Amino acid sequence: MLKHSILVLALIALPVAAHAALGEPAASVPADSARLKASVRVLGTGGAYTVHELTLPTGTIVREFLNGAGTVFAVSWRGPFQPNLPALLGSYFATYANAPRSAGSNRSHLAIDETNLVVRAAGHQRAFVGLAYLPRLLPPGLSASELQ
Amino acid sequence: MMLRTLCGLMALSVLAACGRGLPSGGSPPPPTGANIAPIIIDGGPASIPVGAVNVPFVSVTVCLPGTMTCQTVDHVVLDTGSTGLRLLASVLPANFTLPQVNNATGGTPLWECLQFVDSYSWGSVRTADIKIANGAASNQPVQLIGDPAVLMAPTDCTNNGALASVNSVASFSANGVLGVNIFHYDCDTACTDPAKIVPAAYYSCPAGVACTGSAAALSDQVQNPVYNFAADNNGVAIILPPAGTSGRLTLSGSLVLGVNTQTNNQLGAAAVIGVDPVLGFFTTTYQGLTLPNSFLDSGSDALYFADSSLTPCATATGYYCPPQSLSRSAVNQFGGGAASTVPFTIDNYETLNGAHQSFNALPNIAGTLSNLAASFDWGLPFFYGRTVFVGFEGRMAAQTPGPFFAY
Repeated sequence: MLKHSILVLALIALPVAAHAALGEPAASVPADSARLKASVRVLGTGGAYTVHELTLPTGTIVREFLNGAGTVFAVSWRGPFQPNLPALLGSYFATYANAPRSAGSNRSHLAIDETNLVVRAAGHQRAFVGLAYLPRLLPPGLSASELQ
Repeated sequence: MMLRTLCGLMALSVLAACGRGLPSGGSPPPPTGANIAPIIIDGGPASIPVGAVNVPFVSVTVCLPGTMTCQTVDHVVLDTGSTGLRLLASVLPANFTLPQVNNATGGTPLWECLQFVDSYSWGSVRTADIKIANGAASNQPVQLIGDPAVLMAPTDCTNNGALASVNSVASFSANGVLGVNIFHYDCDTACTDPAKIVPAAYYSCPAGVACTGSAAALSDQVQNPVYNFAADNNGVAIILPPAGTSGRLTLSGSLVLGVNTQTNNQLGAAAVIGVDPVLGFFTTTYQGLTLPNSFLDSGSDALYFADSSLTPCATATGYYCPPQSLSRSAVNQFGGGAASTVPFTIDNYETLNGAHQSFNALPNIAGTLSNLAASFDWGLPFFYGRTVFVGFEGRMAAQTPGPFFAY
C-alpha cells in the first residue's frame, strides 16, 4: 500500500517538472511522451509544420505542432479526459491560469485571447476538445483554424 | 409564420400533426404513465444569485440504502451531457448520512473530481437507493459535491488552482445534476486499472492523509441510475413543449424512462443519430463546415456554434444578437447513418431576455463558439417542442442499438 502511494505521488509530481511542451523545442517531444506516458508517432512532415501525435493512457489524443524552427507552437487535444495542462502548456500554464476569459466562456466552453497565448476548449464529462497556440510562433501564412 | 416555425422545430413524429392542424396553443397533450417524472424549467433553487434560464430540473428521491428513510431533492439538473447522480451536500439534512463508498482495491474512502472545461466539483462517493418516477435502483454510487469532510480538492483536480470551484448550490446553480448521457459509468474502464490512474477523476482519501489519485472499480463508479433500473432502462425520452416565440415564465415537460418500452416512449419516425461510442459525439454540418465534435446537451442553455456572419451581443457577451430573427439549418449525421436536417431560428438574445427578464424558458437563443472546437452544441432550445431520445450504450431500443440520440 505504501509502495502504491509513492508511485501515485511520483506520477502526479513528474508532469509539473522541468520540460514544457508549448514553446519548447522538438527535443522535448520524447520527454513529453515519457512524462505523459504516451505513445507517439509523427503524422507528417513538410509544409509549414510537423505534427507529433501522442496517445495518452486515458485515450485522449494530443497533437504537438512544430514550426520550421522545431518549436512547439501549438498543442491540441481530443478525448474522454482533459490532458495534464500544466505539463502540456509548460511555461505558458501561468498565463492560461491567470488570463481573463473571453466572451462566451462558461462551464463547457473556454476562450483565452492573450497576445502570447490563445486557447479554445470545449466539452463535458468524458468528451473534451481543445487547442492552445502561440500566435507569435505560427508559421507565416498559416491560420490556426487549419490546426485540428 | 409562427405556426410554421413551431412546426419546423417539432420532432419528426409530431410534424405530421402540424399538417393536420394542432389545437390552439400548438403543443400536444403531455404524455401519461408511471414511468414519467415531471420536468420543470424555472428559476432554480431559491438561493441561487441569478435565476436560471433554460435549465431543465427534475426531482430525485434518495434513500439511505435498504431503508425507507428518504429525501426528495428538487431542482436537480437533467443533463444529457454527463453520467450519474450528483447532489450538493448542503441540500441534505445533517442527520441524513449516506454511507461512504470504500475503494474496492484499498478499502479507503473514495472521492471524485468532476472537471468542467474551466471549473471543477469535488466530493465524496456515497451510496443511496435512487427513485425516479416508478424506477428504483438500490445501493447506487452518487457524488456528494461539497462534502465538508475533505474541502480541499487535490491540485490536479483544480489544475493547480486554475479552475474555479463549483462546490455550492450558489455556484452550481442547482441542488444537483442527474446525468443521463449514453454511458452506463462515468469513467468506465479508463478508471479501473491501478497501473494507469487517470488524473482528475477518482481519489483515495484516507482519514488524516492527503488524497491521492486512485483506480475505481466499475461497481464503485458513479453511474447512470436509469441504466440500473429494473425496467425501462435502455434510455430516456425528454419531452418539452414549445417555448413560444418570446419565451415562457416557466415550462413543464416530461422525463420518460425507457425507449420503445411503453406506448409513451415510442421512437416512431424519429431521426436516429448514432454517436461515437467513446466520446458520444456525432457530426453536424453547418454553413459548409463539418463539425465532428457535436452533441445534444440539455445542460447547455443555448445552441453554441461558430458563425462569424452573426452579430455578437454587445452586453450579453457570448450570445448572438442578430438585428432580426434569422432562419438557419444544419445537418446531423454519424457514420453511414441517415442525415437529418434541422431547421432552427436565431433570435436576438438581448431583445428576448430584455423583454421578459423574469422568463426562465427562452427559445431560439444561440451563443458563440470557436470554430477551432469543430463542435455544434445543441443546447436546450433544441429540445423545445421536441421529444428527444437518449439510447444507452449496450442496450437495444426495439431494433435500434444504443448508443444514439434521436428526435
